[in-house]
Amino acid sequence: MSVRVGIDTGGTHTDVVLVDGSGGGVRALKVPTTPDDLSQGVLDGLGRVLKDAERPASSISHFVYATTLVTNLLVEGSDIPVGLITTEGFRDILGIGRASRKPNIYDIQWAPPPPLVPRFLRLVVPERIDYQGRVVTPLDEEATLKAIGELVVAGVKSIAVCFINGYANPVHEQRVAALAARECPELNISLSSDVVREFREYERLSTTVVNAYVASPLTRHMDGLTEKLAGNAVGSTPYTMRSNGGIMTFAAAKRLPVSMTHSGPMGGIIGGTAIAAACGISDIITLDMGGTSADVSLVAGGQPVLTTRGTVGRHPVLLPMLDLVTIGAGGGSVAWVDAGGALKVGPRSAGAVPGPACYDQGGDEPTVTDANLVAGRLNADFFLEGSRRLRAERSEAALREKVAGPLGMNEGEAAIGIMAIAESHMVNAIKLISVERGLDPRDFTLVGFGGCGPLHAARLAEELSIGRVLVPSAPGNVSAMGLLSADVRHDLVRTHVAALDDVDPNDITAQFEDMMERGVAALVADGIDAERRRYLPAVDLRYKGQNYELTLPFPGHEAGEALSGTLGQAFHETHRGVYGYELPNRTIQLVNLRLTAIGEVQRIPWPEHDGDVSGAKPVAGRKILVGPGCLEEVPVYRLAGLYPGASFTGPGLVEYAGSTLFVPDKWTATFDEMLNARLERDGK
Amino acid sequence: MSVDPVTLEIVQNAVTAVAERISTRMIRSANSPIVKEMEDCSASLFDSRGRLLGESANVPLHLNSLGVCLQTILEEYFPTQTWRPGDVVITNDPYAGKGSLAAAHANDFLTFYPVYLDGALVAFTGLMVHHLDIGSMWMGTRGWGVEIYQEGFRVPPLKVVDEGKLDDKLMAVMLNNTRVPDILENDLISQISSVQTAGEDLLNLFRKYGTDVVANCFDELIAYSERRTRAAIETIPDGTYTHEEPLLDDGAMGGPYWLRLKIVNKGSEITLDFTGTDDQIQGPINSPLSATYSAVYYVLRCLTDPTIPSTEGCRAPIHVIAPEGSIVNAQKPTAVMQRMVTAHSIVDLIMGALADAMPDKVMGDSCGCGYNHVITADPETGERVVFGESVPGGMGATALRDGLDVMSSHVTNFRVPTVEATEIESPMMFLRREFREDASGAGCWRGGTGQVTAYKVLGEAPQLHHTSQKSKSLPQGFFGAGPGDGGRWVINEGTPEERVLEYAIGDMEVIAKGDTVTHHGPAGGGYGPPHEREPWRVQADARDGLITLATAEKIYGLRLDPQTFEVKENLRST
Repeated sequence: MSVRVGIDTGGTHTDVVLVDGSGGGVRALKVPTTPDDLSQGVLDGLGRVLKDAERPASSISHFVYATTLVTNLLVEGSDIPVGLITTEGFRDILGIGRASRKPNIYDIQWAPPPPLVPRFLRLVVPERIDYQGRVVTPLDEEATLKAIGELVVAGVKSIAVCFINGYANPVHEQRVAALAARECPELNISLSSDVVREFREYERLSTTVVNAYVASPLTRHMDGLTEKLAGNAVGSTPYTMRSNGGIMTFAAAKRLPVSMTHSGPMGGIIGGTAIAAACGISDIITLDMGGTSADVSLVAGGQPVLTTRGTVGRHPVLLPMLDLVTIGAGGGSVAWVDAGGALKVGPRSAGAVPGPACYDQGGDEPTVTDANLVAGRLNADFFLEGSRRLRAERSEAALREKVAGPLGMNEGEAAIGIMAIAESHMVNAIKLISVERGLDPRDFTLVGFGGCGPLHAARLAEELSIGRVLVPSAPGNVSAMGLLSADVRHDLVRTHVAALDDVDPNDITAQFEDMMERGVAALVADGIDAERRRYLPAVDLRYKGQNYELTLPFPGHEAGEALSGTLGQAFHETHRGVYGYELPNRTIQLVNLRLTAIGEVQRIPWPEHDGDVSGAKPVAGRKILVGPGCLEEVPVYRLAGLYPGASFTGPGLVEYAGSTLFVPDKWTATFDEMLNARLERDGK
Repeated sequence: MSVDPVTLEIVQNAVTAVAERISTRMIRSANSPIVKEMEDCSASLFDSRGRLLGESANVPLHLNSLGVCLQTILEEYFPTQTWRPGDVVITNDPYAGKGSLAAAHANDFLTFYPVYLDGALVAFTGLMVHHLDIGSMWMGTRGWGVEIYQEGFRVPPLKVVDEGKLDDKLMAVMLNNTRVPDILENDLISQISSVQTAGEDLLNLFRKYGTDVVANCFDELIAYSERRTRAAIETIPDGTYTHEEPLLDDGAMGGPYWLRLKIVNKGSEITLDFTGTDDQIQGPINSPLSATYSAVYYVLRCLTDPTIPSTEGCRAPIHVIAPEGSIVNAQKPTAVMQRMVTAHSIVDLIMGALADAMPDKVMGDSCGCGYNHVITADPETGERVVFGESVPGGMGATALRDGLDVMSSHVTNFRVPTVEATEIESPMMFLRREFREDASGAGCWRGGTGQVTAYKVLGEAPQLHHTSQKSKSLPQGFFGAGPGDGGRWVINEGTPEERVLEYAIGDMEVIAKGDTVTHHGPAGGGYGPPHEREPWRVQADARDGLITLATAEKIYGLRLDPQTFEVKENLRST
């Protein structure tokens, strides 16, 4: 019987899950990440999980990998120099950027990130194309060959090519690639018109440079891992998570490495969405709270939202990525009192070392985890199932010295205060992805997971007047499970600026058909059978004169009808929802055509549990702070004592292997067939 | 009364988030390139007395400027009892009220929306937006106006929305007086919608915590900022500090004119006295008192503690003396459109005055204000088009690092529009946008380099509107460092028709279709003696082409190998 394996390499731990195709359940484990050679940790984890499951590597039918490598390379820097070839006169587009000091306009010591390509490796060649794609100055091939030669001499292995208006006509960029292939076939070339064919040269160039920057190390890593997997008799095609929430083959990843940013958090969004879908819930807000940060994302109608305005390590990346907001509010976020006597939480984190004060590794600053421990919500003896003992007295001392003392509170008040402030940051982040977009968070179910998410999910929901919370039965493994729930996904885009009333439906249809051909080819290359292929066309629209577009689905079949009426009406309505007004007589402008090609992956059989024993059995009772100044003995449950249909009313706790659920007063937790906790607030 | 610190922090986060959402909505729905590309708008929230609670200032020169205007409106136009639920008050008049404590220039429209809970006024939301064209002599209020009447129509504080009903007549008058009615209509309606929507956001806060608790939090937010501002000012050594800066330094329009400043710092209070500054001039660079305040608040935030939340409390310990009718306190009817020029000089003026008192905090002189705009007609449609940018430039170096290269300087923080977006929307083609070479102020830390921009104009009947500062009195370095190079404009550079403009700033310049415009923008001043610059930085700058080998040798005292950039000879005295 075949098994599916998902592996998520994080900063400190590599998470591994194995799903047995026969419905025989899920195995999950964590092994240490091996920073010098990430593939070692992957193989360690893979070996262990196969051994536990008593399965051979050859039984793996589906293998998905997520890695922070790309993000780390950008944040920490790579020592492999990258070159840039661009239009004469525009050598410093990368150095100038948009010349904005946001978000630190009053900090005169602030500086933007150093460009990924230093100026001496940014070379220019004579050529020019106008905004309509007409060649104004032909490419100087001699100068191009000279530039390539200079970069090679400088030790460059990877070159980004981005010409002004290269999105409108890629002919010169393609010629540079051909010349480079002829002269130095070992060079890795990234063309802006291949990576992201959209206007705005700085953002396109930045995306292309990021692609070139990570290309060599990523290729080496993926090749090494491919070889090791094959050497260990893993026969199936390995896939990797990408930032658009889909997966792609290693081969596709090597062609477009920039698409692998954020691959870890994306697993969380997809995993949360998949679990919610299995529960019949399609409108959710995911809260993935770990040690250093919290990621929140909104999923309406079962479809995660894509954005093209992301950044990686402060460098803009135009590729579509699942819209998430990351804030510095994790278990390790440090609480402190500032010069004016205000209590603050984060964004600085105590990290894994020294970690929260209770880790007893020399940290003396109170963190959100310390606050949870002092409030009694965390169990010092059951952290990671007891594999790490927490020292509550260290937490108390840190809270007393750094927060409670200076503010004239007791430790309990400080603990509750720290948690409330961390929660308020998360509330604002959730508002950013909901209210900000004209969506009412009360219409959504909050899905809380990660090591710390379930501790705070219900309180957050209360703040937002959300009445329903879902906590998966294995909150620590949602991201890795997400890898196995993700479909193969390719996003294609064409810039086509025209008034909606003026466009020729045949022209639009032809462009979609052309993108379809490319989408089909990509899915075929991925080994996706015809019956598993799906395509989602969409368009970016705006009022003429605006710069920011709203993306609306495009009905592929009745292009003419949509263009002449229904699409415009839908746009006006969406615009009112987002910005509070509409201009019914204003010209609507089409900006981009988008096509998403999806290869569906077989759904995971979520493990179900038998029995219907009403009434849950707590394993213990514990005195905890349920609110300000309110110490109460509450029941503590573990999965072993719970059955489908079991239910209890808060306050109470559920302790999982890698997480803890806090059910506050007035909330009722009911467990479903998969032992997911469904929390509802009384009176909702 | 005391407020619990947790609720306080939550209220503060909410205030900031609401203010940020106001300006984000505006930017994302705007039509004018000045808003959608350059983000020239800022939002603020106020308590029921009009005291500032928090803001989202995209442009530092907007710092606290909405609050100054709201005070004028409350005192001289609409006392609080005359507001009604659903009202929106609008104005763009720099001279509303008695002095110049209202709009910073006529293109900036400010809207205010009162927030009521159970019939009681509890707060105001406010948004300032720079609108593209308001019926001035030249599109976009470019050129060299000498009186306010040339700078477009002015709306005194009026209820553009009266108890929920939009005043169609006022809208019609405004839209009838602009060259771009579609853009103005969209942007005004978006601006009004955004402050209204924010009111609902704020109400949720009051409903949740109760009016009294939130009002107490507002008091404490203000008191907290004042405590921290005072603590920060106390770190500046007591004393009297003076400095002066020229405007129109190259003699343009009868210059130079002088800004003069005496700072008296004592304990937790600081007084900035501009007595001795020249009288307002016949030109648009005069600064309304509102803009002078903003420039002063900006520098003091930079020099003290940039993390202090911006509320009414920040102002209390800061006193400004600005003689009426001087360049820093313009009086009717003088022109003020380019008050940014004076504001930039105020920044360098204060930095220069305090350099010896707080050497670790100051920044060498920066590029100043730059505008590079062309008004022309689309050759196909004949429509009027304006394109261009607020020019980023080199910023000064500090005790900790080099000045920023080509950056929106100090009180401006406009995003530079992309080449490709500009070419789609305007009849022009860019030829260059690059770093200037060998222009930075030399120093242990070098100044940021300036930008060289060149473009060919492809529209009909074009006019160039140019502003650049410091072409003769260069951006100075501190503590033994050199100045950055100044600004210069050239028409048809490198051709037989080449023409260098006599002054870096000036009135509308007639040019011809097909002409090229090149601007060599100013670079920032350095910090500390050049001979103390770490050799590897000199080598890197030489390798990157930012300094020549001659500069490395003559200024930095290092003879470098032209191929490898290794140090061949160290000429520095030990």
